[in-house]
Amino acid sequence: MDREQISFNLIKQGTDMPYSILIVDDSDIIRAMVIRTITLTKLPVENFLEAKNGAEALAILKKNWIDIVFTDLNMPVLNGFDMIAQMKDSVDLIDIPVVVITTEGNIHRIDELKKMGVKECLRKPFTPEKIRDIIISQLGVWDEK
Amino acid sequence: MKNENLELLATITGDILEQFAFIFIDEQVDTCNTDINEWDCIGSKIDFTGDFSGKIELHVSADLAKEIAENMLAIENVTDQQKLEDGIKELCNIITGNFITAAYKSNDVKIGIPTTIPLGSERIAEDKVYTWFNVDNNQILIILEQL
Repeated sequence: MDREQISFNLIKQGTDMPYSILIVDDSDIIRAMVIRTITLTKLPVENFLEAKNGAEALAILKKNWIDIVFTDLNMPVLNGFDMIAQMKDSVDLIDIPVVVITTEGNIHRIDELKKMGVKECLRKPFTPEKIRDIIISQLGVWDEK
Repeated sequence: MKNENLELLATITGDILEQFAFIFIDEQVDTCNTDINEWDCIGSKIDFTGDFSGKIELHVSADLAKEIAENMLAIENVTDQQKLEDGIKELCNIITGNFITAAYKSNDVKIGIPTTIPLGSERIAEDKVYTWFNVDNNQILIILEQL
């Protein structure tokens, strides 16, 4: 099933359903921490998918409906920059919000990411509150507070 | 050997340990509490290149590495060596990223991928820039190499 077909099915079923989030990081620990942090926010997330690098992420994105991507930059095989560039070149993937979670603090590189269409850059170490705010702002999720 | 950037790196290391791994440093010291060759530790290094180049190494007592992984994952009794190494690599990555941003501001410096490395006594020779931290009965060593 391609992304267009998945989208059609979702429209048929109504979009009032939990979200699917893709976490891309070569560190098992960081992926686990991001999932745990998002879980702690009690936002309506049904499905977490994980990828160890950009190439794995692109393969997952082509086969699954993903509402938002959280990605690292420094990864083997295909890094975050190149993965984002390929997403922005794809009509199927261009509109998926991408949030970069990185140690990167260089203002020029952050500007470069923003120009590529990255919605937010979250610096490590991150807090649950910051992740929650980003998900709410990007997906318009109802805030329980 | 002390230098200004080492003090900055030490401060950042303490902050990141607290925020990310819930580990609180007791004191910063100059020496290893045991024979360096007998020290049971897990280490990671990360290179940086660009306007400024060098590398940062982080070595942590094995018992403390276990506690760090458990705190990061919020689970008890982590024994998987891969997970312990992964935790130290990620800490090294975060410390390096924050140090580079603070020390080199908007200069173009790219950070490599962290790798696991053993500690040799030559890494703390007199001409090297490093410092130790005591945490309960464990120690942390951070080494700064600027080319």
